[in-house]
Amino acid sequence: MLEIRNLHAGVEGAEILHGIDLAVNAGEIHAIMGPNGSGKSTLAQVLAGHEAYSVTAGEVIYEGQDLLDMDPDERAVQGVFLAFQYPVEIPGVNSAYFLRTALNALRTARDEEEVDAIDFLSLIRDKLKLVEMDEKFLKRSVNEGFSGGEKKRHEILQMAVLEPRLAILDETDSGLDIDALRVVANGVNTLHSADKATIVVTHYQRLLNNIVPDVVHVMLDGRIVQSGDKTLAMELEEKGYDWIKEEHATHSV
Amino acid sequence: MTGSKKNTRHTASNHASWVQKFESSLNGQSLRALRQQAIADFDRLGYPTTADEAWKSVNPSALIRPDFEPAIPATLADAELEPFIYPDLQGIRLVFVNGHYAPERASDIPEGITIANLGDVYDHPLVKAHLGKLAQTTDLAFTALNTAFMRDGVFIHVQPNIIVEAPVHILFITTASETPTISHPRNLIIADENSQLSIVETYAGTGTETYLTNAVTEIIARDNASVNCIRLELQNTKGLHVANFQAQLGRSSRMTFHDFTFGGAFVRNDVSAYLRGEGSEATVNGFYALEGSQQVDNYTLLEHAEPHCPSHELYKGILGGSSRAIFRGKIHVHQKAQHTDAYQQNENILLSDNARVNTKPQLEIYADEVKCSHGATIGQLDENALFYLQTRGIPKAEARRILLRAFADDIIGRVTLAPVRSHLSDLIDTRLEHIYAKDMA
Ligand SMILES: Nc1ncnc2c1ncn2[C@@H]1O[C@H](COP(=O)(O)OP(=O)(O)OP(=O)(O)O)[C@@H](O)[C@H]1O
Ligand SMILES: [Mg+2]
Repeated sequence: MLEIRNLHAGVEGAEILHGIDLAVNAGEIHAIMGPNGSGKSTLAQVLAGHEAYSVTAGEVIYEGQDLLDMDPDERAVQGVFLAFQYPVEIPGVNSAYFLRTALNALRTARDEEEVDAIDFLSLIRDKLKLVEMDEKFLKRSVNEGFSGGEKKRHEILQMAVLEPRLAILDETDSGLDIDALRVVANGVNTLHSADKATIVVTHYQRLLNNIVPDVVHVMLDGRIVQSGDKTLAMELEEKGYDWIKEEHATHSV
Repeated sequence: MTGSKKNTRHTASNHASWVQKFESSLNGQSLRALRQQAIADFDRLGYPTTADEAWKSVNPSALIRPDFEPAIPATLADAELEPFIYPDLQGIRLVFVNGHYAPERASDIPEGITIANLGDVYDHPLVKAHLGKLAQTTDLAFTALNTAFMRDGVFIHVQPNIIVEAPVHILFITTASETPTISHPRNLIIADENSQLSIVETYAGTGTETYLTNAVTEIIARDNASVNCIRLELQNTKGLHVANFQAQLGRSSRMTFHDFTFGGAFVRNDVSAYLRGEGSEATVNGFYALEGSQQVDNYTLLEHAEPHCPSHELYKGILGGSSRAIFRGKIHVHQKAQHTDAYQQNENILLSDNARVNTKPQLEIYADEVKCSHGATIGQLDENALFYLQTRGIPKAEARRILLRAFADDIIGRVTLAPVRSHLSDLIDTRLEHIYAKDMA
């Protein structure tokens, strides 16, 4: 479904990703772990199409198409979704309007019929239940004044409404209390299926108890330096990153 | 005003022509003394230049053309009026074409309210007593010119305890023609004790030629009265617009003013609210959406003369092209005006590198127990918010529109007359499309 080959990207004057290779098939859940500043969010933002990052080499093929060639909204239309590590506040735009506009933008682009206000309301009520969010959030401006955990749930709510085929969750578990973690994990599992793929960026093994990954990758200084099954995450939880850093240091000499 | 400053003016022939026209324009003996004082003031002041403190940031020379002729009456086709009226607004309507009252366009007037063409009631005791009292001519050249040459406009008097349910919509429309004209709309509105009134002023121009509208509105809200005003400036792209809006508030009265500036090549708005009764409350909000080389100068004054008065002021603007906006907000708190609560904010979004904003608060506070806050922002559209919307499948153009609408709706949403609000909503959408179409081209 997704194939990243030798991806180099960065901001003006500074390369952050130094050659990423990653292949994700439909039905798989991949976890990306790695120390702060290793480039996980940069990878996620590049995949979503943030203009601040420029790609200097490599390619990203999504469902046989050149993903990097698409505008961010086109990527969404093609089924790519990014749950932001830091969701953006949008004063004056209420969540219900935002969600319906987004859903209808996708539907219009796919030549499907728009959802009217009444159908949307029943749809959104189901989705709110999935993430155990109160209907009152729909009336509030997008993310404005939301607590950290509420913002993360709101990301999963959007994912539930937009039903992407490739979901990238950037630290959606950070800052969540135990109940919220369960809710988010349950949401992600419910939305995952054999024809979909999910990439979760996380620092914590505990999320991976709830969302069981097929593959775990470790990112270090803009590269994926190690990949393995879920036991790799447990190993990291136990031993930290130092051993990988050392191992990687010797490898690269 | 010092003598030496006067020497720097480039007045002579320009303004002298109006002084000469004055005698012949005098329309009987009514208001003769007021007009004579006004023309004398105008003669002394001359047209403003950038040397004037109040005109520092804009160049008013566009407003000063020796070839402006007094506007002459014209009939307006239904189709020319139609874009400016709101079919859903069940109210009272008065229409002025080229500064002249068009009685055939007026709607019926309900009881309890006196509404007339000001030009027909110069001898009304209230007109004699109040006209020109708020809008002083001593230091405002254009107000002096208006007062010397004013002709028509509305006079409204609401009796005590009367609640006028029907909003009054006043339209001043110029049918621009090859000869550039000047008109001087003049309004006097008096809301007596415990009365309530809503008015909508529309200033618009048809055609594509230039003209100058020089309007003055005086509003008196007596004790406990409530006056709700909305003003729409929709002059044509070459239209020049100078407007002086002055409101005086009595004890526990309320005045809200929402000012929307969309059209015109050059617009100068003076807006003053004098809180002269204890516990009175003024809300003065404005919104401007500019493109091309439009220049808009908003000069506001909130004068707190009595204790326990709140005032709220929020001006927001969206600027494209090489447009230019100036916001100057003065808050003057008298020594006596304890427990004043004054809030002022000006926010701007620049959509192009060539658009510019000057914003300047001016606080003069002589009382001790005062809550006074002010702030200003000038920035671009939030790129991160744009990106966020785009990642949800919303195309960039639509994402921009959503963000700009959210910015504008903050003001539009405060307009309480629903038909006007929905009209504004359409207007702003059209404006934004226009601004983008031009900037992207
Ligand atoms: N827009 C930017 N401008 C400058 N530097 C940036 C920018 N974005 C990312 N970086 C830098 O790139 C590096 C990788 O950042 P990134 O956010 O991708 O890390 P991360 O792995 O997501 O970290 P964390 O676990 O803390 O979220 C950091 O050193 C960061 O400072
Ligand atoms: Mg990150």
